[in-house]
Amino acid sequence: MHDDELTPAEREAFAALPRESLASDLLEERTVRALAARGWIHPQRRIRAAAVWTGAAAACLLFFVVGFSLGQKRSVRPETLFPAGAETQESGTPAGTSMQGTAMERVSSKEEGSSVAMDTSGSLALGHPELQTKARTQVVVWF
Amino acid sequence: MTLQHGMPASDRELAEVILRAGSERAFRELYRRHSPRLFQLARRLLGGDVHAAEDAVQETWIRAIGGLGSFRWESQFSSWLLGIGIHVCHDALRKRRGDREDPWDDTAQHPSPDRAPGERIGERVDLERAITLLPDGYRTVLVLHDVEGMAHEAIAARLDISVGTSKSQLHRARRALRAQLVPSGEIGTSRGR
Repeated sequence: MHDDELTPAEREAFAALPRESLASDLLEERTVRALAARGWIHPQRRIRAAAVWTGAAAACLLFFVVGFSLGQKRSVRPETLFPAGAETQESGTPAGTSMQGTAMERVSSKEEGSSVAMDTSGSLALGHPELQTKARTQVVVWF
Repeated sequence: MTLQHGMPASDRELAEVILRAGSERAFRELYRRHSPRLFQLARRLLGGDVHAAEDAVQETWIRAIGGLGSFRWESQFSSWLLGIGIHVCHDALRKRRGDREDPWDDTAQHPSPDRAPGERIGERVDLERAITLLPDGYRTVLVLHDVEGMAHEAIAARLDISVGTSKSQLHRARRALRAQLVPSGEIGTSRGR
């Protein structure tokens, strides 16, 4: 066997050696930073994407908070104002007065249209059933 | 990264995007495509030193992207990149040695390669390990010729040595490698990992 020639077995052994090997992810980041520092690549796109995602998350949060507070403000519903059986309840009774009073307190801080409706409904509790249907309609329309 | 035609972008297309827009995404694609081969070559040339190989890979990419505009695409991008990598590793070996010795001196008597504590004279060692134990000059030529399949002319051009030096280094490298792998003089195989 000539010293300068590889045997088939040796060729096979060399051919079986791996040609690729994975380096650490840190090396990729290091290389990207080195190129960016020289101004040869621009990593702005990732910054923009991050800004977009942050903005979207903030917008979602803001939307949720605003929606939640609006929902809290409008949580007084007609069912609360006119619970079942309230119409048949005798006006002037403590329970009826309490219910109407609570509704009045809640609604008094609302907008004017709502207050008008409650004023009207308040008079129902004082014994004007003919206005009851009209007042309920006003409240429902407002909501 | 794919382009409008839905096919994966070619090396040239990625390089053009990098040059035109400095696209980080295009660079990462190109990096991930070619770095495993480059890293393995650097690790072998540098005697298994992982940290030195990582430094060499980074330096290779810096030189490659810096010179991307002058690449004429007359050869494959991978060949061009590996050529830069070989230069970088050659420089690293030279710095490591300093001016103490000439790795291409055919008359130099290289000491026996260091052996790991568990290894004894006469014990069969892994081919990969045996390559790392070779002197720098031997190892460089052997890796480029027998592992990477480069011709002596190409090796000589890359390393700035004569073709005769490349051939003599390979001859000595194979002899040293055989001594490592089969100390008794028998010819056999020793597969790498």
